[in-house]
Amino acid sequence: MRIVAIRRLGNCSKVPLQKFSRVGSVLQSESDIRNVLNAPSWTVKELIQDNQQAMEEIHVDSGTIRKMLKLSGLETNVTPEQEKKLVQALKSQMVFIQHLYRDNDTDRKDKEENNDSHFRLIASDHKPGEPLTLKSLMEQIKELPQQVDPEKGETEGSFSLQDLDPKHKSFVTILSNRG
Amino acid sequence: MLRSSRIQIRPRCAIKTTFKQVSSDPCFAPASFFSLKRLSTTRSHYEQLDSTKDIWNSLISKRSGLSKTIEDTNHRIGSNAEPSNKENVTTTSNGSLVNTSFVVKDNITTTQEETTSASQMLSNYKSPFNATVVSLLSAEGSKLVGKANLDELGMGSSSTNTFYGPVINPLYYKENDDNTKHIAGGSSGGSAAAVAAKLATFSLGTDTGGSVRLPASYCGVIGFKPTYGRISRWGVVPYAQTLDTVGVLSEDINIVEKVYRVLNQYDSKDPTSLPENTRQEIITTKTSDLSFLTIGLPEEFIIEDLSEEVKEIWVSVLANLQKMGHKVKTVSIPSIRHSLSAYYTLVTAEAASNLSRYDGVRYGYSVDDIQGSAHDMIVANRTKAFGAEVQRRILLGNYTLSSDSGDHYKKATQVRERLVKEFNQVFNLPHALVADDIDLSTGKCDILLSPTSIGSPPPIEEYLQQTEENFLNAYINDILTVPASLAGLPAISLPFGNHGIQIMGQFGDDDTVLALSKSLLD
Repeated sequence: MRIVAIRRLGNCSKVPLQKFSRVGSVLQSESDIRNVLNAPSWTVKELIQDNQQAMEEIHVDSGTIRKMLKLSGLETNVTPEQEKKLVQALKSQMVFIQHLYRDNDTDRKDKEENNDSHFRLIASDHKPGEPLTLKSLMEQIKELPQQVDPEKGETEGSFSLQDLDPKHKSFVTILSNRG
Repeated sequence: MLRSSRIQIRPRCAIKTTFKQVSSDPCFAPASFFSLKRLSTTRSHYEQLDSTKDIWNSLISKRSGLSKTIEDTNHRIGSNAEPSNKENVTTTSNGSLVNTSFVVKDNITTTQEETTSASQMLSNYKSPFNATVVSLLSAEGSKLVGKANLDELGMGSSSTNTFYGPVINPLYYKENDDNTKHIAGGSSGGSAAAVAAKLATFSLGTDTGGSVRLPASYCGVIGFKPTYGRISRWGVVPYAQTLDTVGVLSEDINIVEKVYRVLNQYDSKDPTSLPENTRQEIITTKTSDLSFLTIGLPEEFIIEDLSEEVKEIWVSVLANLQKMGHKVKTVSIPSIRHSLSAYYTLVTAEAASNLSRYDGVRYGYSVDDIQGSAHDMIVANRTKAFGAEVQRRILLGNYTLSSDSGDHYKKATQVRERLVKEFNQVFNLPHALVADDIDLSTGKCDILLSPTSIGSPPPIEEYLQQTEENFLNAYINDILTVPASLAGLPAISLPFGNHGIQIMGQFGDDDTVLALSKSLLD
């Protein structure tokens, strides 16, 4: 059952909230607890069960596999057996991910299509600080030399690339042949 | 910022009963059913370390002085490398952690030895700086004695996906034992095993979807994952940066708390670190008044897959909390059912991005004979040096993000946001960051309680066979730990018998989680 809770906004009018989670009543005894725990409502295995029909509806071909391998910086020259395993893996993952879209609450409306929706547990996303002004930016630039951190490699000589890989004394990049 | 007039904080009374007092009640479950572990204080910790061999493969590298049975000059197991004498951490003889030793998961950087993340890709990588958490602990007088084995780059729940061989669970395997070797859980299996084997006072792991709590449960130790953002990730090799959290493992809850207090600091070098003003604004339950809590039992964790033994422990712990005067209520958080799908969409996508930096050019593994173009070299390095599970997750992540498959990352993010709001609606305390849907009704929960894992750790061979048949089998056990990860909630696994019980608190309310844990274990 959906319960509507009321939110006060200072002097603004009350705004109804939809509530999808629920707090039940107090369990009075060990017997109550045991009865609740002996009545499971689902199994996690239903998320990973073989669903042949769903697998067949997902199209993953050889071209897709090679494209993904290339995007991943991995060898694209795989054997037919390896390719078959990869196709199976991608299809299984997609069937698993389809559970994201299984939503029984038909009253929920999806947000409008946009490219800027995100959700992170980062403070500045939810509690923005003071706006950055030109004056504060210029002050930060002035203070920058005092704020560089050798641990981040921001000062000359703090660490060298040779320290990261002692086996290779020199550091070279390889250019492909041009022209 | 929330004004105090909006929120009614219920008055608390001093603790009247403890778990130990209840356990003497004849109505209590048999004592053998529970095992309240305590770290031995009769021998000095270094004596224990010197006499203990690491037959569980919990450590990838050890520092000199850890064990007299290991060559002091061979600091890496199986290598001929000389240990570095470079010591650039500040230590003290007066800190709060003097006379303790610790092990860090080998995805946390140190300067004295390689930081491998149990991957061939980083097998030769030496960090130029220590992770913030290492510096803080050393500054408080604790001694780092080794780097713990793990699932490669944090990807796995068993600590069998490692370049250095699987970790063996010390709870099930002793020296000269013919018993079957069981998994230690993962990905922080080495951290949990090292503590269970008494190789260190405590260890650090990283918890992305349960990787501290699950191995803690399997190895019979305490594993604490604080609120996301409380502990610095500077120097932690990232797997999925919106979820990675440094966690603490130990046999002693007081040590866990001490370590947490040392590490719970803002770090300007970590852009996801909770800022100081946000930390000050977090409303928490008063730690001095912990009687008469309301404990939520999430209905979505009541699954058919739970073993009878785990269910029985869950019943017993809740029943005894009732006897202590706490209330137990069922709660429903529907998005928990979508949490595994959301999690494995987000982590594979973030991993694919994070691991793209490993090309073997500037650092890391590179093939000896460079053929063809730079691209060919990078492909050869990555194909050779990443393990099978890592390669699969990168592929799956890139596929999830590609237009070929759909808009799944965005959908998973929406599920995550909904999950956080559903948690908010069952907790009494407001969320420190996402607090715009404040429900003024009272009688909600202070903490949530569930098992940490659905059953016992399987034998290594059985686990490998199951995952070979279907890699998704490895995901099942994460259902109990992933929701707290997605919501960034503080969560701890406490050992009861051979299983773990998980306590979760509202975002930022780490103190209540720790305080209730202490009252259960003291």
